[in-house]
Amino acid sequence: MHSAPYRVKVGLATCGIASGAAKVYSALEQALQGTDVRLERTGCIGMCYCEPLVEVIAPGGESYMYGKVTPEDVPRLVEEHLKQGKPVRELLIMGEGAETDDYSFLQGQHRILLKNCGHIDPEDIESYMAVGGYEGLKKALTSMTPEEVIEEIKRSGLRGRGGAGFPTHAKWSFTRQAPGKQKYIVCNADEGDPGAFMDRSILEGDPHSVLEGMLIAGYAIGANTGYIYIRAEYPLAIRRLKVAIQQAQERGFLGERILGTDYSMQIIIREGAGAFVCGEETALLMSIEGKRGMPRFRPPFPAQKGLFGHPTSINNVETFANVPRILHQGAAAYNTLGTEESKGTKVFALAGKVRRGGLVEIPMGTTINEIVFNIGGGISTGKPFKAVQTGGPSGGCIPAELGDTPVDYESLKKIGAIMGSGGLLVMDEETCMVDVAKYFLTFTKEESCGKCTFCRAGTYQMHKILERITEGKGREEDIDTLEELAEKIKAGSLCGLGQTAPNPVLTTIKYFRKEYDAHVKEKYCPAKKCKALIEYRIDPEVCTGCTLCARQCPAGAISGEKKEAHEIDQSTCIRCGLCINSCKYQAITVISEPRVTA
Amino acid sequence: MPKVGITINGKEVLAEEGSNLLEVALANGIEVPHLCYDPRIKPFGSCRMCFVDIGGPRGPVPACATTVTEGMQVVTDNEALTALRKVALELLMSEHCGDCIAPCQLACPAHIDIQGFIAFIDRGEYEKAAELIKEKMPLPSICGRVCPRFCEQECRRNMVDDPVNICDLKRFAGDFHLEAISSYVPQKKPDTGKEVAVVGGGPAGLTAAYYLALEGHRVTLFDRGPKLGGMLRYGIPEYRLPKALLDREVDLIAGLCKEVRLGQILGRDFTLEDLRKSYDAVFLGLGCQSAQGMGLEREDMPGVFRGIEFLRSVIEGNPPKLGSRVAVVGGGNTAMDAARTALRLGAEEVYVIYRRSRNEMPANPIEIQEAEEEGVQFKFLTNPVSILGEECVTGIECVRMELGEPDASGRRRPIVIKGSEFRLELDNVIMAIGQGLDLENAQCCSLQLERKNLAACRETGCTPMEGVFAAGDAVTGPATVVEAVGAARKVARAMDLYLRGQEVVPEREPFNCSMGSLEELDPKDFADREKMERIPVRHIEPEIRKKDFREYNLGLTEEEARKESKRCLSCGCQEVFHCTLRRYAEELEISTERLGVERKRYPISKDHPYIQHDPNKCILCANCVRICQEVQGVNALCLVNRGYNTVVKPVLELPLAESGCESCGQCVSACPTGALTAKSPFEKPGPWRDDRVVRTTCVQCGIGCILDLHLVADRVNRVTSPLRQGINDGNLCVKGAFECRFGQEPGRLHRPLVKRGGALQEAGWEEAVGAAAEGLKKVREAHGAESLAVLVSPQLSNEEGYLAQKLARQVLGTLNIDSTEPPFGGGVRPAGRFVSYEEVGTADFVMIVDANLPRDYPVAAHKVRQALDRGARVAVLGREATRLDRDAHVVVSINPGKTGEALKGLLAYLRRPGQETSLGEEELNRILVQLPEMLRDNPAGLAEMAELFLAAERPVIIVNGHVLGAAELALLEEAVRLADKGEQGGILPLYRGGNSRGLLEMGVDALLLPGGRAHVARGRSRDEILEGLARGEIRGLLLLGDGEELELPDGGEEAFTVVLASFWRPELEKADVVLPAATFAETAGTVINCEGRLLELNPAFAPPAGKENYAIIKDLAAALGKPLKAESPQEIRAEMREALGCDLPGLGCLLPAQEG
Repeated sequence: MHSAPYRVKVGLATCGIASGAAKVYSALEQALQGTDVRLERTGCIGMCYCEPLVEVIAPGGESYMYGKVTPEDVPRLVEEHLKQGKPVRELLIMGEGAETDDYSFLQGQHRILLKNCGHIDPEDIESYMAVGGYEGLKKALTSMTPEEVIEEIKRSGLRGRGGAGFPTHAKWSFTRQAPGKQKYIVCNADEGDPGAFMDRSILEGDPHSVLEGMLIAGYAIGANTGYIYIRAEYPLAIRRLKVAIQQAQERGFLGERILGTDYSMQIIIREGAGAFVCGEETALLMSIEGKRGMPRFRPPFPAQKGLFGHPTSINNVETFANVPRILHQGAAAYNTLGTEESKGTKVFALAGKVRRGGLVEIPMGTTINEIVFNIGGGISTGKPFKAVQTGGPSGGCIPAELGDTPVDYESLKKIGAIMGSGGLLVMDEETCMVDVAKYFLTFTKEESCGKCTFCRAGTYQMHKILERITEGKGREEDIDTLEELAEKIKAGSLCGLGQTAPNPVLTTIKYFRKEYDAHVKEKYCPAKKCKALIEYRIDPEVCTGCTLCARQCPAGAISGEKKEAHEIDQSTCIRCGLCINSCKYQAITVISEPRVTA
Repeated sequence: MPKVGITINGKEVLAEEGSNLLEVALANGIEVPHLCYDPRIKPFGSCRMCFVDIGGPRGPVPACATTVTEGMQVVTDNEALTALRKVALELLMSEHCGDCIAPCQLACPAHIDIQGFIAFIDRGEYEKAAELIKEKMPLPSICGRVCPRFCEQECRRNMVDDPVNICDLKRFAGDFHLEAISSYVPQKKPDTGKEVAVVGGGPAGLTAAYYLALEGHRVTLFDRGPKLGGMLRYGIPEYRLPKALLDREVDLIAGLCKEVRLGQILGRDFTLEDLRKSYDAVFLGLGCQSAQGMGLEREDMPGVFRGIEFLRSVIEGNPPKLGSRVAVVGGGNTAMDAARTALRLGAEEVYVIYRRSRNEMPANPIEIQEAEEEGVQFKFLTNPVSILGEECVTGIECVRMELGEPDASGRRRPIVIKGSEFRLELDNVIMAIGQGLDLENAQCCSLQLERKNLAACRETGCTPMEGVFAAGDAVTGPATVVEAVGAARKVARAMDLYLRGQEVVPEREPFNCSMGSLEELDPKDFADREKMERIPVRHIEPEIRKKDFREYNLGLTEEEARKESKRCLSCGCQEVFHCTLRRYAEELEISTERLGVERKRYPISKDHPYIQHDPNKCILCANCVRICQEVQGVNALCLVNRGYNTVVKPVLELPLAESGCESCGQCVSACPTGALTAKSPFEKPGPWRDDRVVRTTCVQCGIGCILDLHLVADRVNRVTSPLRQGINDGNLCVKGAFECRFGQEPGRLHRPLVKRGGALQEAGWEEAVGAAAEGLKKVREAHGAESLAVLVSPQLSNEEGYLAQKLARQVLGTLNIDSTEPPFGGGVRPAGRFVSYEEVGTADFVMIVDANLPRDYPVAAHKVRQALDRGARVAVLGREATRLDRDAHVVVSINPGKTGEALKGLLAYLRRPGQETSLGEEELNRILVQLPEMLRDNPAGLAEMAELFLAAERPVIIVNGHVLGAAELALLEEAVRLADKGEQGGILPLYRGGNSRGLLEMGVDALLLPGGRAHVARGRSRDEILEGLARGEIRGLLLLGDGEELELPDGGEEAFTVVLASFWRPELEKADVVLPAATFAETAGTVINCEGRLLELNPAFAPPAGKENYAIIKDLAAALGKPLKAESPQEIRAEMREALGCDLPGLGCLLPAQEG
């Protein structure tokens, strides 16, 4: 048996490239010239926290994962590992000999959707087909009626991954049954939640799975045209989709008479211009039609009257990516995963104050604590865990006390949060919850389309009040007003953006009321975050008078003689925090104390 | 249409299937608040106001976006819905940045519509100005002299230069009113039979009496003095308020009362119990008559007076004898009056002694200044401690004071400086330190007191005693005239409620959204305002005026008042009486306190000739954007930016006038606030409530749109059209909305003109009509009746047209009569059935032939768009490109002059084997060969049109009756015949003249008699008449109704010409007699629109020259020796109906029911 050559894979998704993976790749390319080592490109494996990632697969098939690789590390890697067969231990994060616990990041997950990401070459259809790609499509087109496909999806229990969790089969079924010859399938790839990048990773790492899902869906509902509405800020994903479409066409998976059947389908890419609201389905349709992206009321639902007035099914990237797996492996295999109501897995973009941030896929029903601690490795700052925010600006803050809540549609809804598209932001004790609410409202007020009163003016007013509160100018009635506005905005807004925009405020008030009270009544910020309510102070006992802080201070607020304790003039201090970072003696502390109010 | 049954608020209602819930509710008289819904455009759902409950799991739903379904149970009003709507409104208000009501009006205790009355002054409508003031303040002349001008303090012009001189403008309007109509009494409401006693003839009592009397109650006014006026008479010196003037203004009020009983003192001559027994309600305006003392020893010594008593004695004609040195103690207006009166009585040195400093003086700053000018000396920070003298006063001892901490009143408390005593030698001391309620009075009537004042509700005037109300100084303590008036008017309103047996509730404060107080405003926002100096008011010099009691403020002259009125910045919103947003805010009682009003700083664009755009007041309902796009097909406006920064702007941020805007004003009609408003025809735009609204028909073209003329002081202030009514359903075009000439524009003819010595000169009616008749008669005698011709403008009514043809045929004896704009070249009355606009909207195929609908007939274009929306196919065949082309399914452009050929081509394609045509095989074949040369493009389009036409079930052909000729019309009629659509569809001809169709029916035509019967002998058509004029064959011409569209030919000067015209234009120089005509807005009658529908003209005002057009024609006939029976338009109509022999064919029926 002749020994196979080494294979080296470099993660070249946006996260990798942003960390310098392209330079590592070219360094490897150069270094490996003339060797028989196979250098391959792949997508994101999810361990964004230690990009750039380089995986070395030994001739025996053993995998060694190197993290935070720089071009300077390349000669060593080549020399020691690829030539001498000795893994470079200091850089190794996974694989035999690794001294880190990073393996638990992947171990805690259950990767179905992300199985290919970081493993196959996203720009090579062969690579996708080698792992069973387009088998689901073949099965659907050659051995199933559209009704049977919908039935299979129904049995799988798949629910929309765009956030609301609407049963996918029902949407398809409505669209199929709606009268009209012309129908459309639309892929919503306008991933706009701050901090969410699941869809991007799938599109960059496994674009064919989305195409295949759309093709199956199109077949099921009777659509011959599909649109992918993708944000223009995802150039790499767009490029890989274009390559994938081209390859799929060449292979006969896309276009006229697919796989020799009567079914034909074309897929068109439409780039969004960056309006968050275009992720809302009716606004998205308007935008595809070339109009100002503003939601309209429903009914009629897109399934009845959608794109250009024709029945349309709009599903999200992740939903589509599930479809080939269900068709290929069968609904029965799929629906064993997850909970009674929420089947399958969910991908989350884990971010915030967590040690290992990145893309994780877990079976529905996994608890928040499991995600934060087992997969994420706990809090990065070492401070106590305070809360997580799920679902981005539409979601809610879940306090650490509710860390045992299983992540599924119903459980999250019960506590006032939502699954959303999959952002999961971890917060520690130093996070001010009023500030967090303000942050999300800043986003929604900017991103409201401006059409309906509650969303446009309501989010603006809520933001104004939150701003006032964080500036220490909160009024006694402000929290009540916030709650009333929130309730009315939820009830009265035209689309999902407005209806969910108050969630961050409502949940933070619900679970962190004391923090609001502290800001409003006692004018202090317990997390010591709100600039107007904190002071930087120098402990004269500790200060050595090194003058470093005074020299760093951009406002000239620090004074003191050399070798004598310094002092900060509170009226000129701009609370930028540079001093505290510069002090080598930890003489400077941030203080926020309850103040007596007039 | 199938119906579905639903229940709204428990009421069962049948609704058309597919209709939206909001429209159904409104149609059934159930008001659901809404701002972004307009029946002309598709539901949008942005305002979030029309929420209703249909019991669904998703909670409340917007009614505009909900389609009715059988059995739907709807609740339109409950607590939760109201709460939701209120928050929506509060949010909308938080971004609606503007002033509803001008700050001056809000600052005025009587809430006078200051901006409105100043605008009237600017327009020269002084009486209207006074009437508007009197809605809130019955004493403008008095108050215009004594008011401390709270309004001017808030005047926004303070940010530019000096405030507008509101007070003197008010005085000007009041004085003008008094001079102009000294006997004028406002219209009282019908007698209610209720007896009311008003006690006190001062400002409060007079005001209450005035408003109660106007409400129809019988007022008996009691006063203690020998004359009415109270403090106005006895507290204010002659030089500030001449008593002769006071008498005149007070007499107007007294005249409204059932009885005035003078010299009657409460508690002495009558008791409250008596009043309560004999009257249904009692108003107490007792005032603060009792002067207060300081509690010093020897206060009552000879030579010491109380301020108010001192003033009274002077006014009553027995002034006390004063020495040469007089001191007045006090810092209020009474002290100033006393000091200045003392000067006028001859005192040489007059001091005002006041314990605080000048800044704290409660007197009017202007009074202090004027007193100083006259030589009054002020001793500030000084207080008398004792009065010196044995038998009579010889001086006072004073102490000096300094100011300490502010006291309860907010003023700094004066503190005695120890050891600072000093003496002042004096002959007299006048104590003017305050007045109070005459407690004796009050106590004897067992009236309840609160501190030292009468206990009464400030809002309603209710006292603890049933049926007894009070207001004025007695309730508030000494205050100003305007405050007493403001309070008394409110109380009079409450008493009216009481007397009518209704619940006595306080008057609701008018809702107001404010840009902020003067302190909150940024002077930069006013940087673009032109500086205009305040017009100085002429005063008599201090040295002269201090010698007598003559009024020294001479007020503003008319010219000065007009100039001063120009300084008003018109801060309040022009739409205050029409704003839907504000109406809901008032109805739902929301406030802007909680969320505040966000300052927006969009520039207000005023560069469009007719439309003003203030994005600061926009609530982003997008009605304007949508109506411009969906109905008008223009897209001049769009939404820009996202979130809170969303704003409506003209496309590409161009100036509105350059954005493709067609000035139709549809955006203005759809705007629920003052964001898009029609520019006022007046320099100062009011705001004014409409005096009346006259509904008439637009005659700018033959569509026949409803016009509502909103009249203020007999002038058209704005034009609207009602929603859901008439053929235009609230839509108008630039002609109807902005370009109608009602007759009030410059250049109007007011008197007849007769040519004397080669020039037109003004003449009386008799002379002019006589000259016209004489001239025409002479022509007839010399050249025969066939040398006479009559042309009639299609803007004239049926009645006028009918009478005109009688005048021509029966009186002048000529057959030469025609319209100045005969359709299809004249002599043609379209055959076949009439097609209504409604049929256009529901047609499945619309073909437009040589008509630019969006430009010339926008309202017809709306109907085509409706048809398009419902799936109709549209074909455009014409010589020019139109804006409908891009929505049409087939467009064929014809080369000039080839319309007829193109229509023949259409016939060739329409013809089915075996069908006979008028053209013959050869001709049809020739056409098909030559067709490509006749068409500019798309030669295959004609065949396509023919296919669509044949396939259609309800085809409609729209043609422009002023572009097509008779031959072309005949071809189209043949096309309809060939396609054989039976009773479905047909041809709709459109006419440029408002009554082109009517004139045709009335026999204003060279060929046709009334009712369309052909005349045995034909007369000259319009073109032939013009030719005849040029050739000298027509020697006498009667041109009725302006005929602006008509070019009189050269050579016509020879002919004797009589023109009936409303406006002067240089061409009229050619005429021999010009008779001033009435405009359509001054005419009663009917017109027939393009569809054949009979529509009404209603006069908004009388013609300024005194004669309606029919009367002028009648007079002419009489002068020509053959009187016509025509006493009124109604009489003409009755005869017309008989002459026509039948009702009008098609839709139009001369039925009495439609004459309304």
